[in-house]
Amino acid sequence: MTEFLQLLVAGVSLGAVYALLALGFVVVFKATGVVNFAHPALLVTGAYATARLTSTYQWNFWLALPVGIGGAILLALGIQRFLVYPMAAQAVTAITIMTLGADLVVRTEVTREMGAVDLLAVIDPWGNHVIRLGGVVLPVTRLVALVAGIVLITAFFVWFKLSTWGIAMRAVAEDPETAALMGIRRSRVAALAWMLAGGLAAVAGLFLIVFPTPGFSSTTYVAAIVAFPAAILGGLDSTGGAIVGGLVVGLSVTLAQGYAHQLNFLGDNFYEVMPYVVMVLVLLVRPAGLFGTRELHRV
Amino acid sequence: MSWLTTPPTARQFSRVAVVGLLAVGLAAAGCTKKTDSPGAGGKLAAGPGVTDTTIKLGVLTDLSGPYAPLEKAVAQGRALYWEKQNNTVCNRTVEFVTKDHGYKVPDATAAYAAVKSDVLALAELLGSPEIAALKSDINSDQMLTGALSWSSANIDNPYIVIPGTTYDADMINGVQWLMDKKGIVKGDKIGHIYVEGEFGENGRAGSKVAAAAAGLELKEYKIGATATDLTAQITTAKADGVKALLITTTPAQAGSAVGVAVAQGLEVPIVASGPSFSGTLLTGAAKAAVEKNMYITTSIAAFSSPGAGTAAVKAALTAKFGADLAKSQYGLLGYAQAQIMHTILDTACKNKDLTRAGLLKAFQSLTEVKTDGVLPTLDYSKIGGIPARSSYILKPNSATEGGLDQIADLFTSPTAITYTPKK
Amino acid sequence: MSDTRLRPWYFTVAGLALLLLIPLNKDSFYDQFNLYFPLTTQTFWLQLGLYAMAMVVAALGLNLLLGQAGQLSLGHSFFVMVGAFTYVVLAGAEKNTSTIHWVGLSWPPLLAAICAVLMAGVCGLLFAPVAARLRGIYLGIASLGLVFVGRHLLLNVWPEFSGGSNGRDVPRFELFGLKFVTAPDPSERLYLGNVALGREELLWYVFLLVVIGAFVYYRNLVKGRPGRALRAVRDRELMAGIIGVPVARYKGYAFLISSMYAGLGGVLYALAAPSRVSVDEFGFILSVELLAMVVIGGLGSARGAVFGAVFVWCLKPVLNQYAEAGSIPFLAKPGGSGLEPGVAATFIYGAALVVLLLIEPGGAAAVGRRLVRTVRRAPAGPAPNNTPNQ
Repeated sequence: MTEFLQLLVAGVSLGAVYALLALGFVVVFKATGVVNFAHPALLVTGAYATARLTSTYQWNFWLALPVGIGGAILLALGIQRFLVYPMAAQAVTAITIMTLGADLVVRTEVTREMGAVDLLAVIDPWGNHVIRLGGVVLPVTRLVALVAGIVLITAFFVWFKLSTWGIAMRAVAEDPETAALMGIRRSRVAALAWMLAGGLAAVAGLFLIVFPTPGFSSTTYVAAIVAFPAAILGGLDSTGGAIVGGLVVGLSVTLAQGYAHQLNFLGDNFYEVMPYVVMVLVLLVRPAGLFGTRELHRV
Repeated sequence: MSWLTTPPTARQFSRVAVVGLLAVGLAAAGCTKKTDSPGAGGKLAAGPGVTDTTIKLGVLTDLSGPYAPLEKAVAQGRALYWEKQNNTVCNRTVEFVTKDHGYKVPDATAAYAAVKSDVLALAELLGSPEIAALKSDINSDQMLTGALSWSSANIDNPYIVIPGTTYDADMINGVQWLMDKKGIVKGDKIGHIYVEGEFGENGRAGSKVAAAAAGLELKEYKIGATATDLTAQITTAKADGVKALLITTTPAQAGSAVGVAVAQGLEVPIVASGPSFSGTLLTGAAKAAVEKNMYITTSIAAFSSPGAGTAAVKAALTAKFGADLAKSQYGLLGYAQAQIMHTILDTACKNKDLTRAGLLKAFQSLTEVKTDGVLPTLDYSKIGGIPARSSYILKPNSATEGGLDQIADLFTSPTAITYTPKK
Repeated sequence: MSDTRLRPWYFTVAGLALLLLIPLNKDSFYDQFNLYFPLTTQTFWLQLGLYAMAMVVAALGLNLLLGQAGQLSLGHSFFVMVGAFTYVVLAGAEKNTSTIHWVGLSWPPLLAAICAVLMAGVCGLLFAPVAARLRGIYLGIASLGLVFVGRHLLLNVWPEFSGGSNGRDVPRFELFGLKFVTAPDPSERLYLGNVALGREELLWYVFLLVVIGAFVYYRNLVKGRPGRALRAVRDRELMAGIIGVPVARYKGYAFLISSMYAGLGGVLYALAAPSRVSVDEFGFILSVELLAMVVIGGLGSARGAVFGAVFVWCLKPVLNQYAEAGSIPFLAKPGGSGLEPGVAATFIYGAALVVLLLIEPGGAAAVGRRLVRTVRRAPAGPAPNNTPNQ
């Protein structure tokens, strides 16, 4: 029973990180209609910057973190302003593919910057401390991730529902033409959406390179790819769906790893395809994701 | 190309016919079988890449991918060794033809195709998947290859030079050490976390044999190549009640496993295969856990090994590269691997046969290759056997140069002495 | 084609002749005819060309799916993988040692190749109902899932088919008794003049035939009724349904044909491989590369797909080759300082994706058309009839 509880806790805390990732992805889609394949690049930039600043240059963590997040936000803004915005008239597929190219370039550059080092540790204040609740061990970093996730997500939803910019973004997502007629600048809203995505990705990235992971490495970006099925299964245009999707993916992957012996008949390392299997199962029942809106088609 | 969709006009058709007939005619006119006359040999039989003044060796390695840091250290060691030989063997200068495959198999096969007619042998080929992909070509081209992989799956190819003890034998020795020094007794459960692929599979093959021989119950936990967080596996291992852990994964994965084990209170000794350790594990949060419970089983001496031979190599490396030196045991390995290749070339030279077949003969005649104490004495004369069976036990220590202290000198477990890897 | 000066077919024939003669540039073949033929043709380049031709076929398939039918598929490499491994399993021999367990049926290679293509098509048909239910990016990501699930199945559930993480040997191709291998004994080889026709040379000609056939079939399909129906489904799906185009059937058709192309590309890839293929060569990265090939070439353009495939596939090995010789100034020689060629290649084609889409979303095909138009600014005759969707 302890084992199950332990896996549950680990899964939910991982799910919170994935939820942040998926949320950033969905925000961009809702506001601009673009599927942002450069999301892994945003995650990697933020995580790498923080790791590099704290370990090689020995900055204070609380100084390095905002700079790292800022770097990801700047990158996101750069991509939006110089690459996506000029292509606003093009088909969304083209823009999506272009973000793939941008992702490739950024990730290659970060790998190059890593240099002859295979692992870059982050000097964070929580280290490998844990708290024990009953028989269950929860790393402090994961607790912080949960709390940060809850805070950020709540703040985001409050802002989304109540603030002027949030309403503007929802307006643009719902009916861009009318929103434009009402004086909402699409480019501003788009820029804001991308900046949000950058920030959320960077925060998620931080939690993917602290304990229980030893640091930033060449496989860190792989975790970001999980954001895609998480966002899809929740519904690509639903911010609530993104949270649910992230949690579902985090939980299912952790449980699949923990019960790998029992799941042996599905092949070794089945947990690697778990997000996609869950996603396909959901899509078969609800083709637009759990909370997504079904597309209406104009003749 | 209107003739594709509408019937061709007579003129268009005749043009195409002329071209087609020309091509067919060329082909038909030329097809014959022909005998070839082999080149005449000089006083020394010479293979490809050998002239009167030079010998060319190939290096197919990873300069831009995940193992680039490792390769940097190896290259430094190799450079040092050949510098000491004045870059000469058999009165000829040694030239290296280096290609970067970035740890991708198609790039490696392309690089191999590019160099194979120009070089006598491969001084280095890095990567288990690359070696697996090129194995049959290596065989048919008779290309002696200095492999940078210790998988015993390669012993079925006589041209592959393994620089040390194989992963499975290392693990057998590791399990033995756990029983001798860490209180593991018959009936205990031990867990092995291993990564998918030849590296992990080979380590696990060793632990399976060791566990069976010692009456231990082995729990296996396989992970994917891109896994970064091993919380779930450690949770299961703890629930399974293991008394010790074995690890054959990448360093990042090992760091996660060791850190989580300590955090979850799984205070058991952890023995990892050589490539599962990297100096970068001693930075950051993983450091304390890694220094506490982790041990490495490998046949490569630690960078700061107490042996006189290795100390001399280390001093020479430091003198040559200064601040740019990659302080790692893989520098020593590069040196040793170059030494093995030099010994082979030297022996072949004495036999007056610098052809590929001659290199093979020379290689298989070596019964005691010493590498200044970096590796155990290697015996390459047993075709289809592993060249060495002993391992060091090293312990991570951030205060030591190279990050590893030697806590057990080379030893061979009784199980390892009689162990034959399955072919 | 009303212009009398530069007829397109001159270029086509010249190009074909060039391709036919490339493998023969060895051992002073051309000296016999007092001809000078400058292209270097060591085995390395032929090998590269074989892989590139396999990618051309696969890219044509994706072009059909994405460019003509408008279905975003990130899972194309899955069908390539199915084609490759079906061929290997059907044509290969069974092998059972203590570390290797391969299932093989030892069928004649030609039969195995045909069945492999059909199998890929079947998989495409099986995926089509899923595709019909999904739209746009949902389809894209679901097809991405196909790549990961397929990899898992072949690698972990059926390693006896795929050889596991080390891959498995590819059986040599054989046609009517002619074995496509490079015989170790020079006197056993087939000769054209004084040029030995080894594995790569023989495969080159077969591949060329296959690629030309695939290209021609694609053009016919696109210009004909199926092409028009697919474009109707792409542009105005609901409207197409209203005017009587069986939308679901054509979507299925698009998947069937494109996955057969992918399967054929997979078979060619396996044949091109010097010894082994492994599952990891057909992953997410290959899917992205195929997408890049099609986009860089120009969505919907067959010639564009050919260009894109050759460009994306050959970029890195070519850069590697010339960087090692020190011919490219800013690139590092192996082990030296500076930009690694492998890294530079990724930069270039990533940047090409970005820049091309920014400036000319029609890809290289559109660039090509613009060039042709400026060259052909002839006073006589109307502008050449370039249909926008070829």
